[in-house]
Amino acid sequence: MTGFELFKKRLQHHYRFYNRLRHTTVDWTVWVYIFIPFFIVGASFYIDLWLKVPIWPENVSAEFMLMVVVFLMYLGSHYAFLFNADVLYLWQKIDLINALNRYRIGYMALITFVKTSLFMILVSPIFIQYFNWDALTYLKFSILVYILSTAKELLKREAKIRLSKWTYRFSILLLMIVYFLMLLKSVTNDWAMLMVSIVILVSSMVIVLSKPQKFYQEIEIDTEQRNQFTQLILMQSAHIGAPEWMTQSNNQVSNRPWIFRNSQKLYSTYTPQFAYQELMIKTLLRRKKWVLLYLQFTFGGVALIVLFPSWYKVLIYLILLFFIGQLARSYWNQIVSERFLELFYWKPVELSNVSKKMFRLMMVPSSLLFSIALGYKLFSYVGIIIVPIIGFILSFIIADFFSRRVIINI
Amino acid sequence: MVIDININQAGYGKDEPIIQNINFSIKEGELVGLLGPNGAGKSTTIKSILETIDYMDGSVQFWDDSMRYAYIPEQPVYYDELTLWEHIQFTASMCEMSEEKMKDRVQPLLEIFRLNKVIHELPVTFSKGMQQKLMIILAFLIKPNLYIIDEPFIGLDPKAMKDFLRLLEHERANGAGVLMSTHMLDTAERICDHFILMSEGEVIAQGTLENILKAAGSNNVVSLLDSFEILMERT
Repeated sequence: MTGFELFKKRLQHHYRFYNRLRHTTVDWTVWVYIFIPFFIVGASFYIDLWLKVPIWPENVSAEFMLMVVVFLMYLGSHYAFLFNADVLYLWQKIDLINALNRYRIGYMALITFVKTSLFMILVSPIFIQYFNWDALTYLKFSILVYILSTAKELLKREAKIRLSKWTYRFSILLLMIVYFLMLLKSVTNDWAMLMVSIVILVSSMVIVLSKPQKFYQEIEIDTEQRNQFTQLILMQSAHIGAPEWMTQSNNQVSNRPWIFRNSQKLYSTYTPQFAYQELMIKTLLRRKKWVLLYLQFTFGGVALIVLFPSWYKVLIYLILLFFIGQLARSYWNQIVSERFLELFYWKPVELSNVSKKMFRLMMVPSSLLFSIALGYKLFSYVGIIIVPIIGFILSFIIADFFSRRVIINI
Repeated sequence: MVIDININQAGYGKDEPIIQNINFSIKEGELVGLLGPNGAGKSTTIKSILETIDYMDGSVQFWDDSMRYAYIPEQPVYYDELTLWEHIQFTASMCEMSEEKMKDRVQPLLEIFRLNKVIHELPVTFSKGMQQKLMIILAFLIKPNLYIIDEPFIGLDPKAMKDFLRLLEHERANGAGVLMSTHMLDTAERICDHFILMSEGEVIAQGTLENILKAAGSNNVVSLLDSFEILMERT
């Protein structure tokens, strides 16, 4: 078997895996209710940007957009296409492994090209129409972004494999700052920055290809990436619930929880209904990643409502409320599916009221912030009073809707 | 009678049965040992009793509707974000137990198992033995009529094991039944009243030690281990 044949086989395996995942999670309803409306709204929004209809991009600075570009450059990952079983045989065939390594870098460069092109096409109206960049400058800027993204992919993985956790984080932060400064400088000095980026890319390739791969670390990173992606998708499934990577690893956990440190009881009554309410509230507040996700979602949502033009705001507002409800449902299903509940024969408990109450509780803070943002943007100060009331009613309806679609018979 | 089990078939589906023809019952105060090698079907039998198996044709009959079981698994399970005390509070709340009753029951258990200094800590930071003790404390807190215990001797220190068996003895004296799945045949021989020997998803022999030795039918047979080997060879 040649290196190319091995790479082809691994790539096929990789795509088969994601295809199976897609078949499991994306059916026609997802297309009808999410993807198609999203594409229609997105296309219409994109055309509006080219026609300079929305006025909000006029308030966006070029520095801010460069930061967005740098953030998107930071995202992304690629695979080594190694398997655990390779240690038995393939790992000893160093030529084959080196060839596999070269092909995976080539594949990564191709995928990065597609992703960068797509992204640069999407944000092009802001740069060309609102910042008045000419097409050639923007093309050179896009090439620079692509070269830097490819180098970042190589360096990020290499740093993750060879450096300690904090050194890795610090190095990546430093790299992103350098990238931001380079993009900033490219506005006035594009050719020079292009040359520097090529030097960075070539150096990264030399670094990566000259060092022998670390087998177990490569496998670990591949597995971690695959799990994160898989579980993020499966999060939508009623029985699987939230992604596992959102639970903290044991070495991050301190002996006592950060909140309710002395196991203070939230409800004085000892009944199953209050037990579940307390369980939901305490576990949610103590899962730092969940709290972070909730806050990111809420503040990200507020930013979207503020930034998007008039009628889109209402649409986004409704979608956000729906997603917060979905998030609450995922969380509920995860908690009530825990094996701890199988330890005892509990008396059957009616939990629909508990789930409804918990969903409402989870939705209210985000809903309130979304409503204030929407109300103020649409109707000024009057909106701050009226829209939250509508938001509460909608949240309660959505909470009731989702609470009828969860596991309630324990 | 505490429980009557009649399983025709159980497993991952009708076409994939793992165990078949499992029939036995547990009387009040009886300690029944569920024995067998890896893959014999012990865990599937327990899952069938807990009703967490995908497919089961048969019945598991508790002789009192209000009867409760407590399951002590080999691998401790708990909520990562709840403290030891909150697990106790949750379990007590699920049984609608008053706070006084909960404290009366749980304080001596915490002292016996030496966990009273870590009640506000998260079990995820405990050693496996400590986590196992938490499972035991929760089971004794609700005082069920049936204890289902999977490999109880793995992870416990000798003192904790002795205390656990003493507490179990006390519960049996009060009428609770116990189903214990284990590989440790010598310990099982010493403490169980009744044995169920399983192999390849079926019961190959059951009864008292005398019944098992008789079923093995050899004059040289003196221990449960010897008879188990003979019975396994026969099947």
